[in-house]
Amino acid sequence: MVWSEGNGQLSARLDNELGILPAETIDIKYNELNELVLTTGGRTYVNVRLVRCFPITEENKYITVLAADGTEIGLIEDVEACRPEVAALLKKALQDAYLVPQITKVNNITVRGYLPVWDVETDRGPHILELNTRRETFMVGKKVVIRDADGNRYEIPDFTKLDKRSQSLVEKEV
Amino acid sequence: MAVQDARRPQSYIMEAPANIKARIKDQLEPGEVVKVQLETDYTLDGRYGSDWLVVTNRRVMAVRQGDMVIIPLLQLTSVTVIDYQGNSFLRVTADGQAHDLVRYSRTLHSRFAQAPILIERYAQEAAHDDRELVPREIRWKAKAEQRSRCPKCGGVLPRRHRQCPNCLDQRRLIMRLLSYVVPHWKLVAVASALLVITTGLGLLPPLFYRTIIDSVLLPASQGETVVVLEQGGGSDLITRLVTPLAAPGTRQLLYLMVFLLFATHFLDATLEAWRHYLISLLGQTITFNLRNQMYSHLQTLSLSYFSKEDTGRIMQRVTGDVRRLQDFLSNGLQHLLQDILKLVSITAMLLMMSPRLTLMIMIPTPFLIITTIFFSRWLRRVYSLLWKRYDGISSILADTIPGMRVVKAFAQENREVARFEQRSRELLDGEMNAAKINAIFGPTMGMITFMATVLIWWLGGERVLSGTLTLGALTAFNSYMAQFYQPVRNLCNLNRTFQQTASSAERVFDVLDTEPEVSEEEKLPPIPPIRGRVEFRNVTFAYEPGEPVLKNMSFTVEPGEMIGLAGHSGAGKSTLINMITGFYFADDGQVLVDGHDLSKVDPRSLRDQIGVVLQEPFLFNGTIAENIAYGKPGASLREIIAAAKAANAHEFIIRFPDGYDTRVGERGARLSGGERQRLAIARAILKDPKILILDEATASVDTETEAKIQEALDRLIKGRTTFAIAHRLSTLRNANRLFILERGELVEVGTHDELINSGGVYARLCQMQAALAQLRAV
Repeated sequence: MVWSEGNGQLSARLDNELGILPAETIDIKYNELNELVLTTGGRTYVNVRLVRCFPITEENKYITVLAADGTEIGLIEDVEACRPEVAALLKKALQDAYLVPQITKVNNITVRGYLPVWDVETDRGPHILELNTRRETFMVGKKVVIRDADGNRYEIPDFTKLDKRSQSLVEKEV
Repeated sequence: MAVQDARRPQSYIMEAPANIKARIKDQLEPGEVVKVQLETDYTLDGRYGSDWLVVTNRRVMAVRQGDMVIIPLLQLTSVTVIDYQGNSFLRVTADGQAHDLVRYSRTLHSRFAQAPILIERYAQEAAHDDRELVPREIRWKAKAEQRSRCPKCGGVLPRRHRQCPNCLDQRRLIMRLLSYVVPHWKLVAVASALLVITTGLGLLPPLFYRTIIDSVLLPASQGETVVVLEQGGGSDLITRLVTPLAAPGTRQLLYLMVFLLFATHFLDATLEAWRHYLISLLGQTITFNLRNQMYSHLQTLSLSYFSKEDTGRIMQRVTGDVRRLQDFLSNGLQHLLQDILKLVSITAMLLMMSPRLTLMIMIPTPFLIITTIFFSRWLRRVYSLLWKRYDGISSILADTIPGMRVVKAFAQENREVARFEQRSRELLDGEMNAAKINAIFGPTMGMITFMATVLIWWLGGERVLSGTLTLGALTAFNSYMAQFYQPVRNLCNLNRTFQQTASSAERVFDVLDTEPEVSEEEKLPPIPPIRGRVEFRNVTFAYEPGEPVLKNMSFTVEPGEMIGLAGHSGAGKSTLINMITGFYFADDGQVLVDGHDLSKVDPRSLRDQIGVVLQEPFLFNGTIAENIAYGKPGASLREIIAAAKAANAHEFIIRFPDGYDTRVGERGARLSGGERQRLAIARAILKDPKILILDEATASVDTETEAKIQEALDRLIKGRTTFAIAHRLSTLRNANRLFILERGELVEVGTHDELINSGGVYARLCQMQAALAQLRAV
């Protein structure tokens, strides 16, 4: 489902409590311990964690920044609105954190017991996915999202761009 | 049928026989008008018979078989229905004396339930000066009464599905069903044309056999042409048509005939495939429309319909019954047509070839019909018993598996196993019984059908020997007979097919005919944006006629005020809330929001501005974001997050790997009670309602979560008119005022402190809870 932006008429009180970090003030870098250090509004936080509110539908919007102790520092509404070098670093940090292999080709889908086993090529190399339910394979627009038995997530970014054989294999599973 | 619109008045004047009418008329004074006229089923001495209760604008009368009691309305001091176990009396008191006016059985309970209210109403009106009084519109609600009898014929209704078996007008239902076919008449025409052609083509092969034998094989083997002795009109046609092309007894003729045989069947198969496709298209299109029509109609029905009807049963109607209708529309009808066509045409062919032989070999047909009908009745009985036994087995399973703890705790495993074994054995016996009948049925039918074959070879053989029938004709006869019996058997079961279809159609149309909550004809105007002032003016409401759940209730709640509702179960708290949300309408009095009478505005426009948080929040099978935005489709991501934060839900949501994109699973199965509750609060916050209803919102969560939820609720409540029901009275402390309900009446109103000090019902409830809490603590 796509959520339209911009017709929000929620009361200002609630909006204030959102804790949105002003994009232009955000600065981020890695320190020598390879921890993310975030500076915003004159304050610096060491070892922050980035969490996507909408990991499947919006990868670079509404990123929650958590401090080392798990409390929320604030929300980055849109990564793209940050300064370019900050945006690039944020995106990389997020990709590192989430690591969702993108499936480029499906070689075969077999059934072991009654559970599907996917033999795929991804942007990270070939892989065998073992699923423990068919319910964790679903489409969001043209994107196919798959979660394997261990909770790893995989994506087919655009189902229609797969080759014919892969498409027909995937079609039976979604 | 079922639920009638609350706003539609219904006549309380029953048609009386002439003598009763005359007796009433004799009594009427000038200007006196009959308002209520109801017939009883008992006389006052408890015999079956009919008395009449008459209420005019001035007096109440009991017009009875032997006598008549007339009491002016203004003299009445009370009117009551005295319900005994087996019957009821309508009793009035006047001048300090009680009069039993009429007596009636439980059958008429709902008919007379409104009588006291009506009498009181007219008495009140009579008390005022008529000219001053603007005639008040009298409304009452035809209750969703527990119908035990058919409203049309008065017959007893089956308990499971309330369809009157007597009034099931098969023909009307089937005709109505067929009316859905009419718009697709082109499709039907093509399919029927194909049907006629394929049936015709199916008749050809036996004729070809005949020609092959008589004009090719026999002449070749005997070296002479057999003279066709019995000149049959059309049957001979094939031979006459093909002989100019190839000489009898030659290979060419054989090849020609074999080719024709192949071509006919090929054409038949091709057309049949097309017909099958077209007819499926027809059936599927109609059921597609019907199914969607049903679902969208269900959405318009009032809540009371759904509280009355079993969910499983409604689902069965939308899927199972609709599928059966589709089967009838696409297969049933065509088969019927096909069977009739086949029977008629085959009989015609046989008669043309040899009328006398035909009549003789038809002898087994009546036996076939009788046996089929007999066996299928027997089988139906056996199978329905079998289904009941299957039911028994599944009900044992449904009982014991969820209750396994109890079974084990009481060490009743052996007993349960024995119980299951017994049921299982009953099922085995039933199955074997059915198997026995099936075992007899098949061979018996085969025997009867085979009798026809025997007759053909015997009688037909004799004719061939005597030279009055050709060998080819005999072969043709045989293969026609083989096609003859299936249609006969099908038509024997026709009545059953029609019956099943009619009852499915009845159930489907029953849903479609149930009047919507807001009927299309009388669209009510939407309520403008509200501030949240709620007023009850002398509201009386009853689910069952004569048993009011709310009695003459009046109060006003200002915008932004929080009201705590407390009282015993069944005191009317939920009913009160259902009236504010416009699910039920007052039988008497008015419910007003910002001065708008709720019975005169579109309830959907009202509910748009009301937020509800229930004890068991209902989540749909979608993502968390979708669930939060349920009340406000198109909400922005920003709003969704803001609402979740305000509801203290954000922190647990972002702990899920998929965040707001997490799928909650069916009915939110993957979330804890407290998490579901906070999503429901977020949903209510996002909707930004002016009136908020909290129905036991914190009842099913632990204390720590409750604190989080309470905090979220406090945020939500700010600036909104709130009605909160809670059994745990501590959660109502923040309320501006508490309403204490008892048996449908408002018995105490005030703040927590005021009510504690007054030492009334609320104080007692609080003491009891405190005592309980102490007990638990110890």
